[in-house]
Amino acid sequence: MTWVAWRVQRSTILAAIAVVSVLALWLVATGLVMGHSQTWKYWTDADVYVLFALPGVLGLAIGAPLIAGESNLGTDRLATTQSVTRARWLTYKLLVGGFATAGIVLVLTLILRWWTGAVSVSALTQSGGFSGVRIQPDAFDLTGLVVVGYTLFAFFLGTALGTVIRKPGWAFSLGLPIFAAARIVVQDWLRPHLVAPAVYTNLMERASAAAMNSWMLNLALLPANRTSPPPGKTWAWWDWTKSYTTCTSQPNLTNAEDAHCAVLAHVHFVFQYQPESHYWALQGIETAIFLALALLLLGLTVIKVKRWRI
Amino acid sequence: MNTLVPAVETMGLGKRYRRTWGLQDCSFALPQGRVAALVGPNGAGKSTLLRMLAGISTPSTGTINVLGLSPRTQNVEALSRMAYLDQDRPLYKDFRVEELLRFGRELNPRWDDARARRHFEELRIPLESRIGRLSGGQQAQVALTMCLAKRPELLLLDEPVAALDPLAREDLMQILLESVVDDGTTVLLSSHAVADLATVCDYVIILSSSRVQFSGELDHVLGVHRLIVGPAGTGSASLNGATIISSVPTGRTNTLLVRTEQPIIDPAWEVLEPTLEEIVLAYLRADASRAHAKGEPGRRRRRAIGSDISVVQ
Repeated sequence: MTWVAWRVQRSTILAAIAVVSVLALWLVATGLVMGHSQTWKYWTDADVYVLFALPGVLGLAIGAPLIAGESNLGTDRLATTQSVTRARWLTYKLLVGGFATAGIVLVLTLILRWWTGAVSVSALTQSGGFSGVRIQPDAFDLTGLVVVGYTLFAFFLGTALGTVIRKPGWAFSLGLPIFAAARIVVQDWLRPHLVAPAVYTNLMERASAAAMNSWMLNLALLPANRTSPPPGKTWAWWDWTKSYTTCTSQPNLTNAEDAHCAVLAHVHFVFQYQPESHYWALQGIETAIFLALALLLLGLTVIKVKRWRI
Repeated sequence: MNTLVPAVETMGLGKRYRRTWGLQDCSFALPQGRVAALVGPNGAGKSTLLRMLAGISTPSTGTINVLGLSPRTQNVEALSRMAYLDQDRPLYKDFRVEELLRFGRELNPRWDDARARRHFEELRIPLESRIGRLSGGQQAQVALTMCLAKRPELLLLDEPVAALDPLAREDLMQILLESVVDDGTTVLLSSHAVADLATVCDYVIILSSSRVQFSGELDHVLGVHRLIVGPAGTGSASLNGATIISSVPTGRTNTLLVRTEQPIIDPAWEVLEPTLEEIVLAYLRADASRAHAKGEPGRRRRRAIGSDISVVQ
C-alpha cells in the first residue's frame, strides 16, 4: 500500500525535489559569495520573496493533486473499487505525501538557517537589504519550525481544496492566495501578541542594543507612568505636551537637556519589542497554529473522501 | 456461499440528478452464475446503475443488495467480492503493466497474480510496457484483466467492448467467458451493441428512459416475444391478448413485435421468432415513440434516443 501511494505520487514528489534542489544550489552559491559583492544584496531581496512563497507552492503542488489528480484522470474509480477502504487509501496517500513534503522542507530549512546566517553578516555592513536578525519577519519565516508548519498547512490546504473542487489546477490556484492571506494575517496581527512583548523605556528616542537587535513592534512617547497607550488610544498616539515640544525645540539641544525636558513634561519614550529570546516560543506557537489549521483541513478531507462519489 | 442469494437485487432503485432522473424505480433480481446483458440507449441509466452497484455512486431512492451485502455499509467486503470496470477504463497511464499488477496485489487479498500474468502472456502484452503506450484494445484487455484477477464473484462491466474493433471485441469476450466459466462468476455487462451480446448472455435486462423495461432469462425473453407480420389494417383483436411492444408499418404490411404467453393462431398473421436484437430494438423504438407522443422528456432526449436506434440498426 505504501508502494502504491508512493508510485502514484512519485512524479510530483520528484519534480518538487528537483525544483527545491536547484533553489538550494542557488542559496549555497549566494551564501558563499554574499560578503564580497554589494550587488548580491538585490538578489537576496529577490530570494526572500521566493522563499516567502515557497512553502505554499511546495505544499500545494504535492497536496492539490493528491485526490483531485486521481479524479481528473478517472483513476479514483479504479482505486476506490479495489478491496480497501477509502480511509485506508487516503491514510497511505496522506502519509506518503505528508512525509515527503515535510522531509523536503526540513532539508530546505536547514540550508536556510545557514543561508540567513551567511547573508546577514554581510547585510549588516550594507545599507538596507535583508537584516537576517532571526526574530524579525523575513528571517523568522525562513528559519526554524514554522517553515515546516507553513508547508504542511499548504499541503493539507491543497488536499482539502482538491477534494472539494476535484480540479488540481484550480485547487492550486485557489490555494495560493488563501495561503498568502493566512501567512500575512498571522504575521501582522497575531505573531506580535503570541508572547507578551518586552518593553524598554528611555527619556530619549534611542533604543537599547537589545531592543535594536530584536523585532521592534511599537514606539511611542507616553506619560511617565505608562508603558502602553492609555485606554482608547493606539500606539500612533504620542503625548506631545506643549511644555515638552517647546522645551525640545531650542537649537543645539544636548542629550542631557533633552532627557531633562522629558522629566519636566512627565513623559518618556516606550519601545515595545519581541526580544531575540522569544524566538523559540514564538516559533512553537505559530507552528502549532498552522498545524491546527492543517488538522481542520485534514478533517474536511476525510469527511469528503468518505462521502466521495463519482 | 449461499447460491439462493441473488448476485444483484435492487428494489425501487433511483438516482436523481439535479433536475432529471438518471434511473428510476429500478427493481430486478439477477440470479448467481448468469451472464447478464444490460442493454439500452445512451443515457438510459446503464452506467448510473452499475456505478451504484459498485458503490461509487449513492442511490437517491431504493435499496441495493450485492451478493447479499449493501455496497454502502459493508463496502470493503462487497468490494473484495466484486469487480467493476468503468466505461472509461481508467488506468494509471504512466505505470508499467508490471506495476499495475503490483497495485492489484497490494490492494486485493484475493488477487490471482498467476492468472493475470497468464492473460498478458496470451495477449502478448509485455509486462515492462507502459500502459499509456498500449493500444486501445490492449488497454481494454489490461483493464479487464485487473478485474478478473480479483477473482470476483460478481463482475460489473460498463461497455467493455465499446470503441474496439471486431477482432479485439472477440478476443476480449473470449477471455471474459473462459474466466467466467471456470469460476462460475456472475457477470453484468452493459452495451448498446446488442448483436455481440446475444451469443454470450443468458440473461437480459432492458433499460430505457431511466426505467427497467424487461428483465429475465434469455430463453424466456425469446420465448414470450413474437414478431408477427400481417396486411396493414389487420385488427389486433385476434392477437389473443398479446401486448404490442412496437408496430412498424412497412408498405402494405404491418410488422408487430408482441409479448404473449399464448400462441397466435390467426392465419392472417405470419408468426416469426425474433432475435434478441429485434426485441431490444422494439423496446427502444416503443420508448422513443412514447417520448414523441408525450412530448417529453424534452427535445434533446428524444433526439438522443432516435440517433441511438439508428446506431443499433
